[in-house]
Amino acid sequence: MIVILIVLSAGILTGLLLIKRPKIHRINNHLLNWAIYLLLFLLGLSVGTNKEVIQNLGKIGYEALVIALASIFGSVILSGLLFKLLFNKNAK
Amino acid sequence: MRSSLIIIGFFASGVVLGLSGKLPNGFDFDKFGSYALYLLMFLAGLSIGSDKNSWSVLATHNYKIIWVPVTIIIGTLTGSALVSLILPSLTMKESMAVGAGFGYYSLSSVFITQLHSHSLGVTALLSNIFREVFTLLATPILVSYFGNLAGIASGGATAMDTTLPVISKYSGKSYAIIAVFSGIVLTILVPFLVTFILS
Repeated sequence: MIVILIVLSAGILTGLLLIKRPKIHRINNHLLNWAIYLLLFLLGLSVGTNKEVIQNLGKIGYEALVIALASIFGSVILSGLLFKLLFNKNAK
Repeated sequence: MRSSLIIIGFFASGVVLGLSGKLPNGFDFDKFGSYALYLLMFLAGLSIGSDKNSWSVLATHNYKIIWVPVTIIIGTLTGSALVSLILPSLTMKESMAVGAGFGYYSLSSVFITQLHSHSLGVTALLSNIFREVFTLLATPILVSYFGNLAGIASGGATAMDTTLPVISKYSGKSYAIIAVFSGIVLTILVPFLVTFILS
């Protein structure tokens, strides 16, 4: 895991050195998209060959939905408090 | 929405090919996957570092604005931790790691797959897609009940791009800047938080 964080930080630092070259930024964003597509394709492959995941897809979907709703409502309710405390006064 | 369809397309074609059983034997996608992940992390870092916007927005010294992503992180992690109590097959850590994707499904699912397991990676993929889709659909209602920050909170990391138009429409243009700021902070933090939670 530490390797991943080092690689990520190395990427950020390299990016900072290249900040004056917008072309590289654009090319990199294309590469990033394809890296994500490749990894999701690989995730699909390993899911397709993994009987345990395939058999539990309904359960996984249900859990995913429940976690999504809990995450959303946790943050939305707190953001409502923050809005009342800090933002509403100066809004108008 | 278009990019989610492309992503689902790649994922689904992988599943279909996997199910067909027409794969060459001895192909080790776990090993291949972890090299691909390093490449992804490097590119993700490069894209954050070389983007002028991410630094100029971060340099905004309005102290109020920093509370927005902080609140979203606390709310998301609390919500996903509590809900793990009604999900018997998931531990609190696993549920929080899925929540810590903040809607950034592509990166968080790939990450969780490598750090933990394929099945939790799929949970993260679906859960974070749901977060984006729910935000697109429910922002008008959320804003009327919980105020102008609600769409930003619901969108999480996606508030900087895919859900920005709907947030800007229902909370106003001045909130679009806050949405971009919050989305960028959360996007940058996803890999760190997921790694931290699962370690």
